[in-house]
Amino acid sequence: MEAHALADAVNLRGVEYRWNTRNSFTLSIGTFQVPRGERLLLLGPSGSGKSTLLSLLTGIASAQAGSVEILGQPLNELHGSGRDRFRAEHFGIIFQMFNLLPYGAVIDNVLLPLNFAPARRARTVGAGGLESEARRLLTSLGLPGDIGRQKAATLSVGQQQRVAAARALIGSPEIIVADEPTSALDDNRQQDFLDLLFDQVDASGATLIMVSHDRRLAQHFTRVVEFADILTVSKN
Amino acid sequence: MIIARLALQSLRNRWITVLLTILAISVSVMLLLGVEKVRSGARDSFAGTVSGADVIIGARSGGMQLLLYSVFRIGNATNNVTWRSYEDIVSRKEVAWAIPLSLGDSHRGYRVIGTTTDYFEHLKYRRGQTLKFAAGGPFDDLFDVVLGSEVASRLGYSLGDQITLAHGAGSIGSQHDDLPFRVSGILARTGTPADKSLHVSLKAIEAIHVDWRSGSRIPGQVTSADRLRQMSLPPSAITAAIIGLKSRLQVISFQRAVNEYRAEPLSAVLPGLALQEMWALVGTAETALLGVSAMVVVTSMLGLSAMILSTLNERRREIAILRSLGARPRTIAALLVGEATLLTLAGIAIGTAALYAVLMVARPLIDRQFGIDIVIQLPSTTDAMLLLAILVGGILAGLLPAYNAYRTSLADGMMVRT
Repeated sequence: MEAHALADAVNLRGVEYRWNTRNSFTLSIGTFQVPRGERLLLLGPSGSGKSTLLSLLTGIASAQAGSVEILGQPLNELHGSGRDRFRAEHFGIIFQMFNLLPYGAVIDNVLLPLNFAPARRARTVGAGGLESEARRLLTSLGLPGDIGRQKAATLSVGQQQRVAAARALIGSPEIIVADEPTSALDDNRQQDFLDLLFDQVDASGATLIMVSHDRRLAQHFTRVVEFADILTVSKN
Repeated sequence: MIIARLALQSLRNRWITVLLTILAISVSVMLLLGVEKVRSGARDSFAGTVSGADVIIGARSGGMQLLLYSVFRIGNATNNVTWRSYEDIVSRKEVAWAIPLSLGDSHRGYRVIGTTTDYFEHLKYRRGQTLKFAAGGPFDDLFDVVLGSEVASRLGYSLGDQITLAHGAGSIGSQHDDLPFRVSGILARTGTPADKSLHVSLKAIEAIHVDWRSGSRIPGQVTSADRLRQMSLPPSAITAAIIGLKSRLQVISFQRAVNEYRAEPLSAVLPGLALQEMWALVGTAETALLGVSAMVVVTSMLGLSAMILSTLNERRREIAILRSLGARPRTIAALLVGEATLLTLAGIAIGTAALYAVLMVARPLIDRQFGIDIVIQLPSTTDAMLLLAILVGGILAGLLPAYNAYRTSLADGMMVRT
């Protein structure tokens, strides 16, 4: 772990990925590094391969060539369930929308990732207990303190995104990946959401990688990268 | 455990389809278990009818046929046993008691049995019960008749009523209408063929046939009832006899003695063995019935599989979320198999409970209607095996959707756009 602490959050070299279903296309990445603690915005239109990039980073998809190192750990050295465990322990992920299990209580949604991540769970218990940590995150993200018992489906879209952020942040994973998390929100709420998210990311010291097509968000980030600059999609 | 709670909440979220699926399984469980209960109940009832008898003797014939016409009063004897042979055999030292049966006459479709009062004393049914009188007592006078409970209740007879017997087994046989019988007793219900029989003395059978030869009335000859009472009418032949031995150990040697009886060709059968023979015969029908029930179970399992499969599309999002949080594809597959297992267990529990409830209500009805007493007791080993098979079926039914979800979750990853 000491060596990992010095390593980049993300380090990709010579990665090639061919889609199984559309095998005439290959996604290639020369080098792509994200130092720890960075707040990175990846800019690009949809269909530019960003879903695939996020799948590669989080270990859901495996590159056919090259190396994907996350926090110093080469993902190709882990087998399937090892990658799943790694993802559970080290990533918090926020989607564009429909992040939550709609029938579940808010608190259960927030605590769910800890089921798959014992270390994160232990960290949460150490930080003050599961329920109180969840409540603390929910209130710091501007949600009412008693929202935990509500069914996720009864929440507004904006509230759901905040619950998703709380879920990503619980147990302080090293990397937060957010895939267009604000595109379902109106402008005012976008700003509120980002402010609260940044506060919490800073508080936990996590690395933030956000994907968006919205150039206006650039000002909030320490670095902005265009998809087109790091990866190419080529027809074989 | 959050994941178990969420799985339950997911089910509750789809409660209508879940409920219908559970109901389908319950109904199939009820059917399968019910068929099995009726089957074993019928076997027990048949076995109970002959429970006290060690040996049944009759003219030389197949064991099953002898059992059917003597005990169950189905079909007819091919031949008789002479009274002399009967007396000779029952005088053997192994014999504890003997009930002679003389069949051939009827009353409005119910069989008339000529016998002795030993019938009421020694005939045992269902775990050793003896016949009891609901009213009156055994026949005493020559023209007394004892009715089975069904005969009395269906035909509306009570003590002291006068009835006439018919010659032959049909309901429109020629009548012995010159010699009416008086109802001297009515038996309590037994659930055995005794309920459907009329019992008279052996002498009464002789008496009503005094003026008959070869199945028809001798023209011009009428013997009065009083004259008949004074006549000594030793029975010339009987149809069969139910015999109890002093020791069960003597059954085989006694059977051999009867089968090798020199004076006339006789058969002795052990009721238990003859029943086995009969079950082997009707076993095909039972198997068919069980087979149909099993197909109903299979259908409900297919329904379960289809139900879970059909939800997979709308649950792709759910699966993607779980995957993104670090759930392994195997975990997701296990969730679906768990769901199938849970629904099957619920179906089994509800189906079994409902069957027992139905049996409790229907037991007296079935007993009255068919003479089959379905004893309400804990599920037998067979029942348990059937239920276990259904559970395994349910788990298997979950495998296909689970495999599908496993593949989907690998292919979709976490990036499903809904």
